[in-house]
Amino acid sequence: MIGMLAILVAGLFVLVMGIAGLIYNKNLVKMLLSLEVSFNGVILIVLYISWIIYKPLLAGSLVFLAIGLAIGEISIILSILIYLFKTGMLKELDQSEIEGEEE
Amino acid sequence: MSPLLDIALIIMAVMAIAFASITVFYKSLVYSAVFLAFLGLTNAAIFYIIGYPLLAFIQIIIYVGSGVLFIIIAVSMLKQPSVSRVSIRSGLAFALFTIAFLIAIAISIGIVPISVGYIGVQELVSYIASHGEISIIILLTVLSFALIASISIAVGDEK
Repeated sequence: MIGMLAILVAGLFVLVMGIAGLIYNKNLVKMLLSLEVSFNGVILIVLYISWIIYKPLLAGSLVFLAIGLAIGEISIILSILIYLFKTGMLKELDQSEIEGEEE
Repeated sequence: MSPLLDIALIIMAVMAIAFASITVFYKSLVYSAVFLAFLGLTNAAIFYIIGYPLLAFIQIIIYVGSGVLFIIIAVSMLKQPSVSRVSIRSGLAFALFTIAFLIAIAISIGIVPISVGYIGVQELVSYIASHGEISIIILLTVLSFALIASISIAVGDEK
């Protein structure tokens, strides 16, 4: 019981850390990494909820699909970044510097 | 529930929190991605301990093995790293840290009786196949689209 509670606390903490990273970081790749951190937190929370309501198979299939979708998201976002870098449309990874150029 | 199980889960939870913090607030992008891989491995250990061996396998093979590795490669493509040598001391410290991490996971998995609720591979696969046909189709479509889009975007027309 304490162990499962530790999973819930870890999931919530990791989720909050990911959201804080999204707000705090200005770097595009760091923002993507923060998104992935929050994704890991959400997975832990889903597993805890499935343990509470006792639907382990449903949670297992949800997490399975979530991992697949996360991989799709990573590949598309990073390939867009690579393309923007190759074509010179994006010169800095730092979001604040991009905003500064526009002003 | 066995006290060993509780101890192992608490250790994994603390490790997950620590790796999440390091990933978010570490300055170097590459090392952040490496610590994200450690976070993924910790999550996989949690999956295994609470009785999802298939999810642990998928997390290690797909998420850590391909996803995070792709992030590391893309980061090194995006940002030309300055030529710098890692000192022997920091390399040794990192190697020791990795070994300690792997030993902690191995001990946690090895000593703990799986008693939270073991979901077998066949059970989970048959559940997904029987209840989640539409989800599987959507997932396959999304992944195929992601594959085609990422290749065509990354290769792209430079004009």
